[in-house]
Amino acid sequence: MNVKLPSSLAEADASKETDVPAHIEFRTVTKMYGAVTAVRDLSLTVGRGEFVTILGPSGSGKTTALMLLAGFVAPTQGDVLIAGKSVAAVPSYRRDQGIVFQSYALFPHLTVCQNLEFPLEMRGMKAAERLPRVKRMLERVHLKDFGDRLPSQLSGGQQQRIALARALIADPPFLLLDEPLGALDRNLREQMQIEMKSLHQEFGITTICVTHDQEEALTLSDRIIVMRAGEIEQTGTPEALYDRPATSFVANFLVRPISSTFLTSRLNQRSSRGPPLFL
Amino acid sequence: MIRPERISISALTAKKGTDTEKRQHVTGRVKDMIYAGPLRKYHVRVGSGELIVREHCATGQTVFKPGEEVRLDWLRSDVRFVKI
Ligand SMILES: Nc1ncnc2c1ncn2[C@@H]1O[C@H](COP(=O)(O)OP(=O)(O)OP(=O)(O)O)[C@@H](O)[C@H]1O
Ligand SMILES: [Mg+2]
Repeated sequence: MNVKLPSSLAEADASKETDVPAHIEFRTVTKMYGAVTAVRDLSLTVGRGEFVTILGPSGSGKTTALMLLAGFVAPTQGDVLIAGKSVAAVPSYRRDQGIVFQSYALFPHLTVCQNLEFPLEMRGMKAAERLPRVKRMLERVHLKDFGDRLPSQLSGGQQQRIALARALIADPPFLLLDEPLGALDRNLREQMQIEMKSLHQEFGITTICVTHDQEEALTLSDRIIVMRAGEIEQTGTPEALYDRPATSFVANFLVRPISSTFLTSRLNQRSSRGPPLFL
Repeated sequence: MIRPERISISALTAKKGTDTEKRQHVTGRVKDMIYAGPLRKYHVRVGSGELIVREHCATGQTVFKPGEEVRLDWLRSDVRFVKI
């Protein structure tokens, strides 16, 4: 279902004002896996420096959208562009985006320092240059004394912070995060959300973050894309989506499960004044 | 639809505010009250439906018990229309 939004809800297209191409653009992208349509007719632009969250239930196509962007899978139809250039034209190993996938663990046999050095080494940076950079990055994520440990000697939150640091260390043009905080407990998640927000502000890096955690999306994003069954249901600022959802699907999805006490039932009772109530 | 935090809950006997023109209300019976740290959540039977009210705990609030009759009211402007 494609929902036509009232114009007040439609987001300003970040790229329209100028001639600069949007940093990231999906042009009517469809991705089929055999008979399964994972993403259907997806169009989306993301401006430079934006923090966009893709939110949606399991199977709605979030990871597929990221994979398309990373060039790990090719669109069945349509095109994905980065700074105006088709992703299809550049092999994915030549692109240097930072990626944190939930399952994309740190190298277990390498120390924290070696993990952080890895992307720099891949880019041919000399050891003398790498080490100060690693040191600065470790300070930035508040783990400067942890460089010699193995990942298994870190807590979940610390590992996640190192994974973020590794994604950021080579100054990637954009950051792709797939459920980056998925494995963490609630308190740690909240702490890491604040951490991620400040990292984003500091680095000013275009970020696409996939989550099915509503609160995380509301906390972190400049803009939220709500997906449902492979299509965009609604996009907007966190406030717009929470306060002016276009559909009951969006309204229901944007409340934390703990208080997802949401009214979709129709009340048969008439209000004492005014129109009948449909809540 | 209306968000649970936009609904206010009060005793039937409580005095109405001055902006009744802008508000809508229904009466119902408290089904249960869930205390969640800084929040209190009421499930209130209204007709055949149920409304959820979420309020921040503060001193001086009346706390309603299951079975009590209450009035729920909200600003008309807080009601949102969404596609089902
Ligand atoms: N490699 C694949 N082969 C076949 N079907 C796939 C493949 N990858 C994904 N799909 C299907 O495409 C749809 C979208 O999957 P996707 O992984 O993008 O969902 P998601 O929104 O990331 O879900 P989750 O929140 O569970 O991670 C699902 O129906 C899934 O089963
Ligand atoms: Mg996924």
